Amino acid sequence: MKMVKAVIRREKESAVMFALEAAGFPAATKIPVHGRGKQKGLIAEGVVYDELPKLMVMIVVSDGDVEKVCDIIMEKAKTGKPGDGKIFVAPVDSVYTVSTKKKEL
Amino acid sequence: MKEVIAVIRSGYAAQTKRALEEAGYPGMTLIPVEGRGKQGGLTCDMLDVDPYLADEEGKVSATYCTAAKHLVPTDPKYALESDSAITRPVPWLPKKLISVVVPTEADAEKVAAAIMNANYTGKMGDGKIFICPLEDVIQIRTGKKGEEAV
Repeated sequence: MKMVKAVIRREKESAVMFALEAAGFPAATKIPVHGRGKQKGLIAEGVVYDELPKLMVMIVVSDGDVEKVCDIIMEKAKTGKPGDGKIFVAPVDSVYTVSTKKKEL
Repeated sequence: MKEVIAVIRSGYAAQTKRALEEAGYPGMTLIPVEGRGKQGGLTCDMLDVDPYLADEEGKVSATYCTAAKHLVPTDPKYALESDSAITRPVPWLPKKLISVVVPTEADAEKVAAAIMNANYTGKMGDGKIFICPLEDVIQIRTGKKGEEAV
């Protein structure tokens, strides 16, 4: 199992979520965060904004679905300008479902 | 080292904290988040509907069910059946994300069991627990690394 953590633009939330749901991945956790990338935030009229509001989306999927999920997020969250975000994929050893007490997604 | 990440019901945070303390793992990070599981949020038929919102035949009023209508995607490629968006008044639910870092896998299983017992209702929405490997931990105060920093 893999955990896909994507930091995306907040305004791209519904586009990404609907695309994921249509592709069969309705489950997700959203975390509102503030962040910056290698451009160190942005400067507008001389004012420095070094932390920009972003949305972190956390999805846990089986290994074979990682590509698919990343492709969907990349397609729907892209504007081509700096600040589109990053996707991190991390390993997950095991998953428990509390309501069934089973070791599965 | 392992990181136990649990997404649980908002109201169960206090008793989860108590359960973790009793199990001997007081350290934790708690983040308020929004989430949903494989059901994709709550649909009208899952709700115990307020009778004032239902008409004489017990049907849910249209205005209540169209709460999520503005979320219908504009991109036809990914358009859902419009009905499913309309009959889903609560697409996202408030949850709490709890992260506990422990030294060994046995500890991780103990933490998972404690969280599971504290949050079990047997109904959907109880949450998920993820156990992830962790390369290193550094205690900022002392600069210690690895298991003694946990």
